[in-house]
Amino acid sequence: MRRGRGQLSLSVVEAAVGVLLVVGVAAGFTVGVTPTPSAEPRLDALAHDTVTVLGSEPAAESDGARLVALARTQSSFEEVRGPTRDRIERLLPADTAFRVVTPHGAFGHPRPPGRVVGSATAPTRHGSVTVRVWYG
Amino acid sequence: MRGQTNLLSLAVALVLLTGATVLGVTFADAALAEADRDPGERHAARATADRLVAADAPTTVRANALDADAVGGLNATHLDDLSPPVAGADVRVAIDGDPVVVRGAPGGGTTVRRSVVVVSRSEETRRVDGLDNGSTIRVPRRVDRVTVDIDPGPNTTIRTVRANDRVVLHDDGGLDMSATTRLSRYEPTTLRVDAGANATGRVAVTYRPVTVEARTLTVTVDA
Repeated sequence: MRRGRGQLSLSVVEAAVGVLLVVGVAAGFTVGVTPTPSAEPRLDALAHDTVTVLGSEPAAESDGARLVALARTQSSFEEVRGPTRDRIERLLPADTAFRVVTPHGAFGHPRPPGRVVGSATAPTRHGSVTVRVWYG
Repeated sequence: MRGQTNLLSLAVALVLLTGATVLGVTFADAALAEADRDPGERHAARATADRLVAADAPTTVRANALDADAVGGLNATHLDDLSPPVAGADVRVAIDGDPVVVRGAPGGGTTVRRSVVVVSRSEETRRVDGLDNGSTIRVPRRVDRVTVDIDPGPNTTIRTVRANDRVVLHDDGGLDMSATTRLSRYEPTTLRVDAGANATGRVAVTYRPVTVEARTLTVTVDA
């Protein structure tokens, strides 16, 4: 133990090792715990429900299901867009917002960045339709 | 002197180590407390909701379309049969906030929400058509099955009934019967009875108009 040679006291070295050990164990507890379940599965379920209902409901404006009418042509998309938006507004809980993406365009609320979003996609003969749902 | 220096460094070391231990245990405890959730409860709620809206569930007409009559007759025993995870737990199933099934008092449980439509069939509608005029009967959309009663008069043979030009009933020997036939839900249907120009008799078409309402199904489970 000669001062001026920049040597640490042995006790401090032992303490540093001990601190590392303790912090390591504690970090293992903190990291090893499973993360809190996110809202994503619930939002996915809501999006899935929306797609299912749209796919099994007749569109009042044209033949076939709403989902198919959304994807069929540009003109049929324009035609069923408004009624479908109203239908989804009624279908989803009041605290959620949604956006629907089709081959001919999208409608619904603009999607805020950095939110947890649930989505569901349904294939049709004319292309796939995606519904995204988030807590608005 | 050296002993005192060592004593001082030992004190510093003990303070550091104790501080680190306290901090570490605090963090670990917080993490564990956060992890002390009830995954069984969440699983039960999700499973029950899934099974209530499944396409082959006894409560649905098709996927996500609840049958109003079946839901009205639902009770806690049915719920346990449908979804064993909720057996013995406090559970509440509600549609738009109106309780359908309640067992116990699920206060701070886990709630799962699903979007559904509730399908209710109203009273039967019967439409009778004489065969002496053009025998077409229009059925509105959303009706998926009709019962056709054919009662031909004397000297009349009815061989074919078409729905939107699709043959749904045919008998070369002549139809004189009552039959249920399935129609497309997606478009209005025109039923046409092929009969001669001076045919007599009656055709009655019976169906139940359907109303569909969007609702939110909530399942709360408190294990």
